[in-house]
Amino acid sequence: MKKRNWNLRIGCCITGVLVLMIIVGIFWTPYEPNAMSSADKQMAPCLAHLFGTDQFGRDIFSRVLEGGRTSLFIAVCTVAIGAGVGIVVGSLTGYFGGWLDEVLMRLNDSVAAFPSILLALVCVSVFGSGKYKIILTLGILFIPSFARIVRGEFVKERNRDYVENAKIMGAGPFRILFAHILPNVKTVLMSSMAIGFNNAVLAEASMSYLSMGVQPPDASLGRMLSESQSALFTTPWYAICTGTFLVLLILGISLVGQGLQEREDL
Amino acid sequence: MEQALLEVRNLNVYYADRRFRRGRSRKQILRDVSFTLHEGEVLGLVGESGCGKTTLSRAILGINREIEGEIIHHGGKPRMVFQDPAASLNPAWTVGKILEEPLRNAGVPKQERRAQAEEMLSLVGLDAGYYSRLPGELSGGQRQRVGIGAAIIGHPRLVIADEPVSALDVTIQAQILELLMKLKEEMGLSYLFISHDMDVIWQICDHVMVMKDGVIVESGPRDRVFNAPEHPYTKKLLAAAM
Repeated sequence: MKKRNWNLRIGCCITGVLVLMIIVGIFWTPYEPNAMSSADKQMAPCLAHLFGTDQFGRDIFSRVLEGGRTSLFIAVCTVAIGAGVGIVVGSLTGYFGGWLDEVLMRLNDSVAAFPSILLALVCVSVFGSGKYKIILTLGILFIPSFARIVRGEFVKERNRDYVENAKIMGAGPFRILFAHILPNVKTVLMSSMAIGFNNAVLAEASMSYLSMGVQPPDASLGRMLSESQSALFTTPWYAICTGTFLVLLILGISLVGQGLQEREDL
Repeated sequence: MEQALLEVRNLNVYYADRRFRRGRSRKQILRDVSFTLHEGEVLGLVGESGCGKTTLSRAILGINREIEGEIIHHGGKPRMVFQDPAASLNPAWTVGKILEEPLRNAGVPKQERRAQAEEMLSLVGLDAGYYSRLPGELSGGQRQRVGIGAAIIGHPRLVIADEPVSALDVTIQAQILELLMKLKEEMGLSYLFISHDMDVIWQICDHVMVMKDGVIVESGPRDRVFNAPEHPYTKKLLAAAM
């Protein structure tokens, strides 16, 4: 009997629901996320305001959707840059080796030697903050980890018979890299992309929490967490709802990543 | 005498010793190997594992570049059938894609590739339903049929078969050998057939070369080598196979 892959299923459900909510949030939110209303200040969750309102009377549910969208967007772009460049660098260095490998991997090491959030904070304080600068900064900082993983996989695959066979069959080096080998490292890549995605969400949230990330009036989960902190005892639902959304987003993707890995091991 | 398809003259192959990257230390694998393979011939290469058989095939295919001597191809690029098709067929690719790859690399248009791949499936004794299967879903014998199909689909004149049946059951071995002989007749192929198994060599080869420690110690027509071996190593191999 085949064992059910619960990690993958639950992960897909959680991620699916959250992403669906965020997508709906792009087109429609119950209230304008930044609209303040002095009549509705600090309301507890009720039917009109699912997650309640904050100290300015803004609807927290709408703001969570908006902030979730920002987090998702930044994370997806960051992973796209990190994984995209990482795959190219990792596959070239892993497959060809030689001086190219030495140069690019030492460069990689020097970037990876710094804690990535710290380096991101330095970059932001030098170049300024804002959504796109954060994406670029995090994206570049994520390249080394992807490059290293992809390189390791390509080193493992390059001496296998099917690669030699592909050479004999007349495939060029780029076809061997991206058509022959890449599909065979897909699983490892997918689960590391899931991890990378989570790291990107957390990094963005941490930077916004320290008000070095997304700038107001754009909503961001990290920024909302820091705002909610000052009113933790008067409006606890603010921190709880925002935090839960962030945790679920990360949990969902983590489970998907774990599930994908398990599917390979079966 | 038929036309020569492959000539190898005074071939020496070395492997650099990786432990001393910048040193000159290297190990010689093949010593002064010379032979000629003629059109329509099945030339057997026999010897124990580690004697340099696979190194020779890699040198002929042009994968190993640290060589001295001459390798002259008169019949275009050779193709290769591997020992273990589970490793030599891309596990992430369907059978159809694997078969079409040599055609794609040769610039055959897409619509023709599919027709040729399906024709090749039937030629190697698999039905068209295998087109969209993955190698992992096939049995060892079926996989080797795909491996053979992928090797010959581009109509090479020479096929190097490196222990093509030694990973298979005895009954499947006989079927695959039969298939190789059938394809040889139908497509006008020549084989360089590498094996450690004297029985298999006897069944399929016209000429035999015996290799020991990178040197060809004896070669000649099959019957002569099997009935009147000259070199003590050949005698030893034959005695072990009896």
